[in-house]
Amino acid sequence: MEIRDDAELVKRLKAKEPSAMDELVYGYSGKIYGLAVKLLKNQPDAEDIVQDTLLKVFEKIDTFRGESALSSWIYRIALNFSYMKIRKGSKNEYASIDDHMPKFEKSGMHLSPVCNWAEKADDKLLRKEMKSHIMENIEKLSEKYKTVLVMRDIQGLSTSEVAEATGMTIPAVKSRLHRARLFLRDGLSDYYNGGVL
Amino acid sequence: MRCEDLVSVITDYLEGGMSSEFRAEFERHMGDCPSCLAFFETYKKTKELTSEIACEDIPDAVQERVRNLLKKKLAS
Repeated sequence: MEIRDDAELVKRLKAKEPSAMDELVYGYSGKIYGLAVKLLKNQPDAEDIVQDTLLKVFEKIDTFRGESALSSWIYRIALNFSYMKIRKGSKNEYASIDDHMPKFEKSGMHLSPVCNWAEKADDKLLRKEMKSHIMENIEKLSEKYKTVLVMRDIQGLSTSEVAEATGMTIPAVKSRLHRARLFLRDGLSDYYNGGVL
Repeated sequence: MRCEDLVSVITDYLEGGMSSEFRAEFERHMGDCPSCLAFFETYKKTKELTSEIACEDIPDAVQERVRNLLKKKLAS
């Protein structure tokens, strides 16, 4: 279901209109679920996040002042619930992203020549393999990187929408996104250098 | 522009957040530096492949469960 107009939906939610509630559920539950599954790595926890988030939205809608987009407010609630669940769960081990940043000489030139595997990745079968490799590496990212990458590059939100939803500045979102992409790119380059591509 | 500088602003370049002069400098450097061109193309390909990964769909049963829960709240 498409979200037609935030302001109108908020008004109808405040009036407790059943059709507005349906719009909220059908318009946002999938987005919240998609993000939560990626962050929490399991469906039952993601289901809890959807339920807790929409219940809170429904209960607190009277406090929503419209200072941010409704979607950003909803995402922020979903992220808070997700992070709480992650903190309560078992300790996760993440890849050290610094180890995967590009290396340069003191002069600022690349330390070694860079292989261009971009065209090879257009092969249908390889494309599939590379995507599954990317998915494996997304799992290794800590929440702070994963949140930004999933919202921006997978769910297709704009940088400013991600900034609003996460409470970060636009430069901070860009920087985190860039580092996450560099990490994934490095993983694919290793894949290439390992002779797979 | 050094290779390190180019790599640090790839996101800005892709998002169009650069002055036309800086953009031209970025493109000039890429034209002269095969490693930077390779880096840029593989970065862009990584982004493209990532964007083709779909988020998991919410099961209909879950969506209905949440809807029913909110309905109950509305009625109470």
